[in-house]
Amino acid sequence: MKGDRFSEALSARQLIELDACTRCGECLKYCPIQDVTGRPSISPPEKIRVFREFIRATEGLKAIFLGSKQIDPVLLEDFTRAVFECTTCGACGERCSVGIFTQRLWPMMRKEMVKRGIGPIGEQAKMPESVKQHGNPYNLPASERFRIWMPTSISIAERSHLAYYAGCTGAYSAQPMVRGDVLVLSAIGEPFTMLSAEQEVCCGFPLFISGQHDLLEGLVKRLVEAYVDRGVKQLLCSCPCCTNIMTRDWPALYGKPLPFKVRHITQFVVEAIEKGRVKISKPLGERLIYHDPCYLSRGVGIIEEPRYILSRLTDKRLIEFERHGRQSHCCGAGGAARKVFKKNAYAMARNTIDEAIKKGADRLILNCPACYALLNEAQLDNPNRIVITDLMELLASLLG
Amino acid sequence: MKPHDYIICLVSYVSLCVFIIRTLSMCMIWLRGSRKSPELSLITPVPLVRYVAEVLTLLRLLKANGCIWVGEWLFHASLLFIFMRHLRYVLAPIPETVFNLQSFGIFAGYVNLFAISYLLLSRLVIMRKTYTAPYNLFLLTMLAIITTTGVLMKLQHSVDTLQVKFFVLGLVTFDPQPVPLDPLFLVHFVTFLLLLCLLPSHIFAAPLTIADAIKRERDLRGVLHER
Repeated sequence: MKGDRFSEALSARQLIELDACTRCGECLKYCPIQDVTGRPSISPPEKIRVFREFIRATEGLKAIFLGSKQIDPVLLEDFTRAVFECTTCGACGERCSVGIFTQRLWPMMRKEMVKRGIGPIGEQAKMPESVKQHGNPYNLPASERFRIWMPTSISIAERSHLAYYAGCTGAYSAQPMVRGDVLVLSAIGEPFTMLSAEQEVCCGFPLFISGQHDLLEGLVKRLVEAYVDRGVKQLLCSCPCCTNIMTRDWPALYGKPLPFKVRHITQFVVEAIEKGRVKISKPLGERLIYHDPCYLSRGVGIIEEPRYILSRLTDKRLIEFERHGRQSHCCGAGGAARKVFKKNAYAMARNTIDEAIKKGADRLILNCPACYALLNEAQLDNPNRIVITDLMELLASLLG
Repeated sequence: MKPHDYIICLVSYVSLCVFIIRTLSMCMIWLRGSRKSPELSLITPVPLVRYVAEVLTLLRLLKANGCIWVGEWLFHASLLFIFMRHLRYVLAPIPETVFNLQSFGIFAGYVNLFAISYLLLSRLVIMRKTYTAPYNLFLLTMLAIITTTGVLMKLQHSVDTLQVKFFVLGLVTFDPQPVPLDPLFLVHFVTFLLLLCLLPSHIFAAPLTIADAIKRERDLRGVLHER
């Protein structure tokens, strides 16, 4: 069978990581999936052990001299389910005693399973076709991308050195967030451009994270060239997942360094606040708690900026989750798993909501469209409720 | 030389070969890794002082679990002294440093036994409810056997060290010598050979991933911020 090698999708560093796992089990304490399922069989060390077994059985010494062993299809299926059930939040890697970069390892294992035709699972499998058809993974018309939420008062420049990328999840599932983004950018006063609804296609992250890499290069080239045509030198984005893939993978997928700089919107807003270009009418008298999105804090190191902005928005001290910053706890929205493993996702989301309430917060501040969509959905039939607001949505509502 | 001497010598060489072949095979798989990883590669040197400090102190484990760290650190540190003490069997003449470390080596044996018992207990009693890898328990059991027999040979039952040295030097110089027929020594030595065959891969891989993690954490700041 072609593709017998299980190590094909993994880099040398990732293969070393598989051998480095000591199976100490410490990561289980930080795994949000363990919190809600309590099944060690789908834990990080078990996934690593099983994948290592696959490699040994097909590429190890015995396989070389005696021929590779047929992997039990049931075991393959169980493993695939375990690796796709993960939210790829990377909390396990952050606390790994040997420093394994799991936020990157799991997607590559998924890629291997996709190559073998076993993954992805459920809704995830429809994403490539939807991206091809509509430019987004949600199978929604491209014409609807900006229509529902884009304020009519906002003027978007045809060309500018500054551009804003809304992203699919924000545009289709977390409209208050992207609406807040453009309102804040408009208030700062620097002209910015956006691609048209048909031009602004998926950044590639949902495909990357679900191991479906075939369309990635094409999407990235299309987007980068469209921004270059508009004279863009700085691309702003608020979605942590989009920001993550833009900074970490776009250069490799584009084949050379990007001709513009990618920044998270909070970085731009912090500068604007420091230059006095953002006026806040009256700070809130509320106790705010901020949830660090996994791909923003652990992924690209944006930790201080949201807190700086929040410190300007309330006169009360910011409350922190028990696990915050790079150690933040996944809310359940990650890894393209929220639509497939709904029960897990809701349970994790409710854990986040419950902790925020327990900490005495009046409002839970988010900074990720996937977190926003999930937490609002999970709260619907949750007895415990809290006001959920996106960071830019809040800032936009307090602009003077 | 009797037949059992030849058997033990053969088993020793086979164990060594298994160890070498396993290690080479592991390295071969590493080298087969994709070179076309869709990831921005940040090729930067490792901050050496931080790296050495992290490896020597097992800092990442300390951050994850202080209780396990105590046991693991004591185990690894004492193992180093035990290894130094055992050098006297393969070196002739014995260097002064190795000679001077002998009493530390004996003390390290007791510490090692304590650390292994502590780790076994914490795995079996405290962590049983969460996750314990059977392979780790098996390794710990083997280590406990090796250390216990080692300590017993020192405490209760003195083995002819000269005969042990002849035997070990014979193995090292490919000039097989009779095996000391002491039950404690035989258990100690055969379990060590078994351990050699089953040595966990993290011994080689973990120092590399720790170096990578240090670089990654340092470079995280540079992903979106000015360095």
